[in-house]
Amino acid sequence: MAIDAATRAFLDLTDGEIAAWAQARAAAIDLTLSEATLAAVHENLSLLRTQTALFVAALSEHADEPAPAFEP
Amino acid sequence: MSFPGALQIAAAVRAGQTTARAETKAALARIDQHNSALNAFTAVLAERALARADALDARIVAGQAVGPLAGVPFAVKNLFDIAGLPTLAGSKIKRDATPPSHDATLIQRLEAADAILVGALNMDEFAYGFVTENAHDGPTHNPHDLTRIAGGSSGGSAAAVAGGLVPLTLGSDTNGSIRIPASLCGIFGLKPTYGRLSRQGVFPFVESLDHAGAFARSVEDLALAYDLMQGPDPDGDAICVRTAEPVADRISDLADLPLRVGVLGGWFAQGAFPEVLEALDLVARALDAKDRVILPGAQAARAAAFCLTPVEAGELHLANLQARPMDYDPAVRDRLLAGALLPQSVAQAAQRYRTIFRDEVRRAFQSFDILLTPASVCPAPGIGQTTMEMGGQQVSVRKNLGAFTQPISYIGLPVLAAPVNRPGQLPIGVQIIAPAWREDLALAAGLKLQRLGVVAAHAPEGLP
Repeated sequence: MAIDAATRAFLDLTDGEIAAWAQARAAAIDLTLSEATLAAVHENLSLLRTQTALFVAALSEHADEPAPAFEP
Repeated sequence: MSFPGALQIAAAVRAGQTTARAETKAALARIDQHNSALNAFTAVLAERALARADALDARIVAGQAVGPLAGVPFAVKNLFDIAGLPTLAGSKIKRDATPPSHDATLIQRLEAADAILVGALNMDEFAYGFVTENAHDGPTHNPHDLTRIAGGSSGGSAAAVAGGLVPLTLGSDTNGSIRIPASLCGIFGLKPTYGRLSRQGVFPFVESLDHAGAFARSVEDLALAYDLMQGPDPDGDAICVRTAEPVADRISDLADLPLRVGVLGGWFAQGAFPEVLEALDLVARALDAKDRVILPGAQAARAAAFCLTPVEAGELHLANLQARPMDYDPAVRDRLLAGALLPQSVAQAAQRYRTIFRDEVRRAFQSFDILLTPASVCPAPGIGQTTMEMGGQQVSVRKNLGAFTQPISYIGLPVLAAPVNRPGQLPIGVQIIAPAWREDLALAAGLKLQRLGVVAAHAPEGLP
């Protein structure tokens, strides 16, 4: 399946790797993740990873193609 | 108890049987009486409304022509720009923002038809939610059961109409934020085709998915308001370029014609409460819909919308997430933070799937004029309720109320959310889905159901 490296890296995270990945990503975009937010952010990332896997699988070979301008 | 509709009020004002001032004062009195229980309004514009009503009455006395919504009070979700009032978008962060100098395009268009703006309405912060349990302004209460949510994110808009405070409100819908509260509050809600109504002056949530729309207590009121808001606004909203295609004069005839109606199965039947499926079956039988339609891509479409939303919104909010994250509603902040962390390529992939799923649904519409599905998986949950049972599992209320609405708004199709006629019971709505740009078909099907008595907006019992 064709898929870009950044999405692949996100999809390949294990639950145990999410916290370190989140801190690295936050540092890269000047975002501070306070202690109060960590558990919920990690839970959301875990859910987003599951959901991303669903539509990436459905995209199949189209996964890394540019999106055409959307018309309803 | 029944509430006068927009058409009824406008006819009476035009005929001189009442005045715009009297109707405006009556609406203000209802807001004054009921808003403490509902918490639907976050601002009431009595001075502005009465001034406009007096000017309208003076024109009527002078024999001048007046608009089709003469004297009809209406209100808007508080992410619509109102001149002189901070556009809160349900947030603390925008409370100190400079107020806009102009009203949003849709407000201007309704006021050009002589409707009277009376206030701004509660919502989930930055439209990110299905519950309207706002951390800053408090929860909006469902008029049919004050212990339950009104749905969201346009919860104030739905509660204000359901509670009879005003006959017409505006809201926005990105993932279900018109259809969910319309369903839970037992009224009609219209989410038109993506790009149909201008979003100029509407604070964005996810521009790729944002729609503006309306709530009313009858199909006719909704069709008229929709017609008056249509038309290009390319300077204000680059995607709003389509010529107006009025429906109000056509849907009555259209409702008499046979419609080919299918019922969505598969993803759209999984996890729905039994009473929701029973309500859908009532509607399907009334429209002689016998065919089940399976959209194999629906679950992936929902997942794509679910991921596109926080990535795009997280990017929009990045500066505030960096500078003042603790000023957000925690339930919103934590999802925005997660979205901001995701690579943009996730959003690009989510965008890519839109055309694939759109084409799948277009093929289904080759055999059907209308597709039906529940609007929400359940009747209104309780205020403060965090989980519910869905498909035998305990799941988050906030993250799952929109399971049946998200795949449809993802591809921008027009939907009428219509309240199934279940007097004395908690409201349940259905989605009447039409092909792109065919709002007329959705409204005609709604009108047919309304005439048959299968859908109806009931006045709540026991509103204090």
